[in-house]
Amino acid sequence: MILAVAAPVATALYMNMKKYILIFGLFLLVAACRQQDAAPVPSTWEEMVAAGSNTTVHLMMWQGDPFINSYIQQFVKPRVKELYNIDLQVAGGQGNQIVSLLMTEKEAGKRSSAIDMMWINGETFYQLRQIDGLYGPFTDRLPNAALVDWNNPFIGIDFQQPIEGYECPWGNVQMAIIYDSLLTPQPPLTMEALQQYVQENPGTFTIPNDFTGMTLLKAWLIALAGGGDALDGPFSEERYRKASALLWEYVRSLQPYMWKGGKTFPDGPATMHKLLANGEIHFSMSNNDGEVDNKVLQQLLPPTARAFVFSSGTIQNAHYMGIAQGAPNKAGAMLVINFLLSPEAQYHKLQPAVWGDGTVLDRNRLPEEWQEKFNNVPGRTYAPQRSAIDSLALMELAPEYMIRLFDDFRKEIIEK
Amino acid sequence: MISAAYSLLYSLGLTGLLSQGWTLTYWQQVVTDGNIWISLLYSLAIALSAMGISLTAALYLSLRHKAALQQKTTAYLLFLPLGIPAVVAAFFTYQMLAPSGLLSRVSYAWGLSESAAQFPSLVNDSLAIGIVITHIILAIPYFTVLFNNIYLSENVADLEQVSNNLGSTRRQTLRVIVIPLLLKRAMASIVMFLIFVMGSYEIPLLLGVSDPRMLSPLIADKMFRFDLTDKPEAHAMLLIYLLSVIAINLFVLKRTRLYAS
Repeated sequence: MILAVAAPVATALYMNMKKYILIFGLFLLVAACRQQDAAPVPSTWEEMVAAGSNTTVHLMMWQGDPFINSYIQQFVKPRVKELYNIDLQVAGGQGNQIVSLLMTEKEAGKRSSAIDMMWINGETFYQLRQIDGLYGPFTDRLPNAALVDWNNPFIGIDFQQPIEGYECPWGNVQMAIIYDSLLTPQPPLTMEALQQYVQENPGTFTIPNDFTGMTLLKAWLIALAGGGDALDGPFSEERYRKASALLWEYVRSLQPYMWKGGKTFPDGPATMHKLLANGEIHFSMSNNDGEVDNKVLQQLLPPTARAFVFSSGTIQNAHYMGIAQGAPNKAGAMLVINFLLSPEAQYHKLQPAVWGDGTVLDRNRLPEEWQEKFNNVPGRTYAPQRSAIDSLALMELAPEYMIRLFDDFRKEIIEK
Repeated sequence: MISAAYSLLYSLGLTGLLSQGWTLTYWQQVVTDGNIWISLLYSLAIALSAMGISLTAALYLSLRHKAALQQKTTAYLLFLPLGIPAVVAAFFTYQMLAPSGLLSRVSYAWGLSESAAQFPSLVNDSLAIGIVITHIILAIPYFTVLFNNIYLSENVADLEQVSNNLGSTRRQTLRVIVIPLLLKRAMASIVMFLIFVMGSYEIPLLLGVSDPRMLSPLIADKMFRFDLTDKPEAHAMLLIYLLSVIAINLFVLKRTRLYAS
């Protein structure tokens, strides 16, 4: 896309340079005129409510799931309007687009950002911390933060990096493999069983070349390094080299039997869900263990779809809401985030018919009536129960592991 | 020019949030890595294939079926793809040609293949068949309209008549007068199409393979990936691509001038 735009632009510039320089100059002038400093953040919650009410909050988030979009548009938006008269404006954009936007704003010297808050995961948190793009610490200012167990490592630590109040947990998920029980009555629960299955059923398994695929590889890397906390802590070149040698050996043993002969890999879970629904492959995957329910209810997957977690474990992590360092309306963003963290919003989100996203609230800290409600959420139909897979949860590794896996998956598998 | 200068500064480590100061490391990495050169050649080969087939088909339609093009229904059906966005066209190709697609199912229903896996790989294939087909579908109507308009505005029919009166065969008239004239007049659009295909993003993203990759997915991957320290390399790649585009432009302009003289 960049090049499709860049090429004609370059040619046009080449042909009509002066005109474009003039337009660009005018653009810079207009941009400079729009520059404004962000308002100071109030110190007490009462002042926060006063400052954030009757304002507009700009949220940037991934909008690829109709259930999630509906949760925001039909539930969150009206409620924050009702509670604080906040006009929540949602713009589409995920990880790399958020990072690019904030990076470009910083590089252009813009003090006030176009967005106030954004939905991020560990990958984006790591990048935004690198460029100092996040405002914080702010979570201790939120009254509902008292309902969160910040000592839970799956919440308080993101990619082995303490969150230190720079992002607020919104949901908690664990990676699961999705399959069609009609095609695969007995799913392979171990890496060895998967190897055997793939060899007996060639073309039915693949790994997406994206964050989800790398998350699966990370879980396998941990298993091959000894399991559990074998790779916890800062990145270790030596430990990575040893474990990754075994990992590539394993993946290479699957490669000739993978979808398209292991010569190409899907770009993400959405493509894999489609391939699974078409019967082209037998396994899809998601970072959200509850996604199978969500996709069956959307009729993207058949009602025979189910999900499992490898006995060697899969990565569990939280996803978060962050506030841009240059957010013009930090008070409004905090009111919205505090609402997202409320038992009301978390409970609504937990229901599979709404979204099916795991809560980040500690049930023991909830008022009694809410405890009862959370304990009686309509059960998941197609996904494994959370209690059954909690013991198989693995921590996210240090970010460098992800960087290396992306590079080496290309070098060792795709380009070989 | 300003964005090219910015990319140059970025690729030399002289600007950017994570810049560490002047360095040639990123350029060395890009030039020696080889991916950009493979991608450049791969993209050029795909663009030339799509261009060659589209131009041949458009010339055939505009010269052999002039009357049909004037008919409302035929014109409507032929020109329909002009309004289809690239990403929709890519999805359409996928739905038609994927192993689980329409053609595969028809082939299975007719007993031509025993399973979806037996159907030839026409999308996500390293020969880029799906990518080329999609670009052809989008380009044929455009070039047909273009050639038809040039044919009318340049009074090519009169030239054909003169040529025939002077004793040329129809084939000679087409080869020496009509086709060169149409191609020359359409040269700017042809070059823009070549550059457009080389830089296309959505179509190779959906229908391409993980290796080799066309230029846009390769550079976008470097630009927006997890490792922010890859950004300067993406800018270096972008500059190599822009220089290639300018080189193609200059080469074609020079050839066109030579031809004209």
